[in-house]
Amino acid sequence: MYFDIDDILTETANITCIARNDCASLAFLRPYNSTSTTVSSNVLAEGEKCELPLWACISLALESRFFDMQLPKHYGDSFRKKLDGGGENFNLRIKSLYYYEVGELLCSRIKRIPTSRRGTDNRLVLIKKEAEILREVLKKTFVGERFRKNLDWSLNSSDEDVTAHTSKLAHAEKELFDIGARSSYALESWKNHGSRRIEISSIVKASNDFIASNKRVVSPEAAADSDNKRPRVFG
Amino acid sequence: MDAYAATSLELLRSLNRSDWLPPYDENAVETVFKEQRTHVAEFKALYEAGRREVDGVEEIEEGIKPIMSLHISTLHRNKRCLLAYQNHRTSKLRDLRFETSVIPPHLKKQLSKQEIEYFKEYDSLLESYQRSVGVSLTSFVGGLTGGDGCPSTNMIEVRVTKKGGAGEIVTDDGGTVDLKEGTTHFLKRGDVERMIRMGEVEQVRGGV
Repeated sequence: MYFDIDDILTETANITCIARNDCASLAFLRPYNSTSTTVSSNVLAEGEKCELPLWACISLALESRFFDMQLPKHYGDSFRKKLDGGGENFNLRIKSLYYYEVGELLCSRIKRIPTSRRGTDNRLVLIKKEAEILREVLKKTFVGERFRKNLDWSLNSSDEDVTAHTSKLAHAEKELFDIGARSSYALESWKNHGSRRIEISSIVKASNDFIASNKRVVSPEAAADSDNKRPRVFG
Repeated sequence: MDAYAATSLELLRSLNRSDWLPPYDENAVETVFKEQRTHVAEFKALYEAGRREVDGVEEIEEGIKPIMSLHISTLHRNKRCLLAYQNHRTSKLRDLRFETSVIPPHLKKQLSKQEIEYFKEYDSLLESYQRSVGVSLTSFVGGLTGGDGCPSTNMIEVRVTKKGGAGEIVTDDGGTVDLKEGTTHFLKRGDVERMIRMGEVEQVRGGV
């Protein structure tokens, strides 16, 4: 959705793109470790690779065809086969926090590109086929063993340490887990107290905890470290 | 070199990091506006430099189309991020009105002047609506939101947790109660539910 923060953050995922023609003034997109030389240092030459965030990739590679895009490795053929074979223990979070959302967005945007253009665009045809397969794999993975395990953990682990399980979950799965855990807690609360208890507002409680924890002094090293960051190109 | 939509993204990340809302970042919002103006200026400059007339038809040189497209996409991206930032904050304010009815004093500094004004106006809008339909939407007892349904009793036992006491309150039947810190009182739900939500008193566990 347009205003949804998670949807906006989904579009920060980096996608490898290849220039289809010389692109003026886009040399800054070249990766830091690139050794290629071009006629003009300001131009990203045809065939050069770069990384674009998904929001830029959608307009430059999918809507306009200035670039070709490559599906990230964790959506590629070999990873898809592993997922198909049963990925209930895979750490999807480490591959991409918004694993399902990015995958679904890529598939739907790739599907939208019309193929009835003059000449055969082989790369486009190939990537459309890949996107179709990826969509099926994502669907199957989301509702398969991972979902069953997630459901079990979220409804039956009120007193246990769940980090071993949640650290492997992609964002969409973690949201489901949180909903389940909250429902489970609410049910226990209702069983114990009925509707007799009034609780402190969660907003007030959270801000009280924040104020209490913020009273600790920040070390000079920690403060200095935050300044040593490489200048970012894309947000 | 311009950062492409990095500032506006950082605004959104600050929302995610915060428990409720971070202080309104006036400076970052101004920076994003400046970046937008830069992107527009650069786009115009590219357009002027790249225009060609071919057989009477105006065209743009092929090589500069990608960078022009990137400027446009960045304008849209920044706009989306800023709107989402504002939208998230105002939706939290509306939720706050249902949670606690007033802005807790220590949270006021997280808000801009306009947001405090928004809360006041939303508050009066809600009040006048509730008066006109005769239903309370924010009661924690059998309300349409926030309530779990009818409790079994009207009286609850509370202990005062606020430092320095919670002051004197006037109960529904006209008596006054001095809520000194650490004291316990047996009062009607309606008199104390707001104070429990604000964390000034707490319901004694195991109370009837």
